[in-house]
Amino acid sequence: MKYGSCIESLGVCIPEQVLTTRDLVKGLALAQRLKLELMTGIRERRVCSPGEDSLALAERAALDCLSYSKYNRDQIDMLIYCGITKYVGDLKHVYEPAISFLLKKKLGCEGAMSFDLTNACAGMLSGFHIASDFIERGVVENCLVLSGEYISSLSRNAAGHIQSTDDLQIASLTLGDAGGAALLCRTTPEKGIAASKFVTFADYSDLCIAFLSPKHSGGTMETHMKEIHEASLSCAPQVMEDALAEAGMNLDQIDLIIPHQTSMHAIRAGHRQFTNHFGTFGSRVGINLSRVGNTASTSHILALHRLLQEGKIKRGERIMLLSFASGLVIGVIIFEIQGLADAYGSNC
Amino acid sequence: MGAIVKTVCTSLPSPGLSYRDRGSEAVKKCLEKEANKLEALDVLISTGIYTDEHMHEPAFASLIQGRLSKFYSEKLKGTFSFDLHNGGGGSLMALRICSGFVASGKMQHGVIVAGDAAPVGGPAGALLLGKGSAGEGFFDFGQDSYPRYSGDYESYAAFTGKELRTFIHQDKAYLKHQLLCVKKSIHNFLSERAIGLDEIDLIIPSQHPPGFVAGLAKHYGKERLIELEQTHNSYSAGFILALAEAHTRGVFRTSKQILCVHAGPGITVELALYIQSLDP
Repeated sequence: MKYGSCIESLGVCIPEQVLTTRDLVKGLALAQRLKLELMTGIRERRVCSPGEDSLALAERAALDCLSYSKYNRDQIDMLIYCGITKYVGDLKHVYEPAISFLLKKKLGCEGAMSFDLTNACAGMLSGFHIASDFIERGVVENCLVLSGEYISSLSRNAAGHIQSTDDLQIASLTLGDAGGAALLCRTTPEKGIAASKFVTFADYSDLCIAFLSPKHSGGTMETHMKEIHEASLSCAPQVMEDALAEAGMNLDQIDLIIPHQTSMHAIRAGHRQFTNHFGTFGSRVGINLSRVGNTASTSHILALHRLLQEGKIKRGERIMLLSFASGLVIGVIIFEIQGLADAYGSNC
Repeated sequence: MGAIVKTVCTSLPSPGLSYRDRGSEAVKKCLEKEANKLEALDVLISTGIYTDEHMHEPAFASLIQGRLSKFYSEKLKGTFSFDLHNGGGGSLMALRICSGFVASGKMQHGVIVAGDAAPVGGPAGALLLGKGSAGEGFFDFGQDSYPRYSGDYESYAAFTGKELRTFIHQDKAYLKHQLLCVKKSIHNFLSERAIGLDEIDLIIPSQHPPGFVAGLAKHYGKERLIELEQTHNSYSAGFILALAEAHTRGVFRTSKQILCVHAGPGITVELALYIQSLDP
């Protein structure tokens, strides 16, 4: 490859309005409410207020990201919108023009190449995979990867429907709204993303389906939680091994793993599974659930951003972003932290 | 080195068939045609805009992959599937990604599938891409945005209080503006590459809205443009259907330089230059 590709800056948008798990599931029996909070580790999540939507979340995350970047908005070469949700205005799911197009217009980077990519909760990391390819080949110098997940309508619709914790919509109760942005840019090959590997295990593609609700505004998601959780844990190790081989590393050389943020129960089960599979699992695990919940495609960015801001990631540390998404998509991105640690870690 | 077209297949609309049905059929036909030469499918991209039941998770490409995995479990073992949308489809952007993956060694074979669910409906098309030899394949790409026309074509789905409906607004000036934008983009694209219009043997355009290809024909000549006689109300799949038609007519294989054109809401214009050797 001609160049390497690195994460130059990150940005997030976390809505101000708080919705606690207890308030969300008031209709459930007390024992089930407590069980839900205990299993997921999610005490609260943020939800959009009137006037906030997918476009606004992504735009604000982009502006936050650009405030840390050496690039101005008119220097952006490429923009990929990777959100599952495309709600603009009053829960209108926009098909056209593409959200990336609308964002280019709002951000003032109309000259950038753009498109929308959808890949469930693996959207932003899939965007990294594609952006890196363009950057590494020298086609573009940088790419802004964005998502705005206005996904709380799924939680609200689920909460009004669920009678017990066995319901297919129960996973929707973990969701929260957020925007995420990452600017990837050119670097030297040795400083770039060390590995990027994505596989879709489509035998499991029907295990989690989300669609616009025919009965309410917003969406509905039905998840076979146990099955998709087991499939994820059984499929992930091979993809992790392939990515580690591509990076020329062993798992014990990874300092921090940030998995997709679904629930504490799932993350702990993953930890046990990977310990069994790899024999050793010394890496720290990044968790960012209790205050924001599962923010779909933005979850890795929120976790990485928070850990950087808290000074919990040091320059030179090796990070593995591990994606589990409906599809079933398993994605792994491995990189070494460089300047990001200095830019964000100074807050502590 | 870019990606080359291995095969193109279509699936016509039929009552009761969803985009998943038609998309899966089109991809299956492609895989059947190349079954002996194809060890693994590395990438599957769906560029359909309107999905069955307004589904937005998982990626529709993974649902299509899932439908086909019982026939081709080994070939689809390591496939990476995702959806791409960009002004009427995004098939040319998907081509650009695949071509890049071929160049960087991430892909040997990939499929792009397009089609739409109700209310648009229409056929589905699938395009199997592979690795070519030096000097052939999709070589160069361009994308232009014309945001001043972004209100010309808008569509969304929303719950009205009674039902979930899709709303599509097409301004009267959309076709006129689309033609203006495409002509400007083609002119700039060819000029920047010092290619004369007379060096382009074939133009394969997207097919929406009605009158778009006829409008192009007035400027570029009907004889080197692919216009579908029967579009079957195609939308996202229009470009792939036109590519299939170029194969059926035999003009794809006899053209040295082919310009692919995709225009859609935004207005976004995508261009791709395909070069092949005509040596026997």
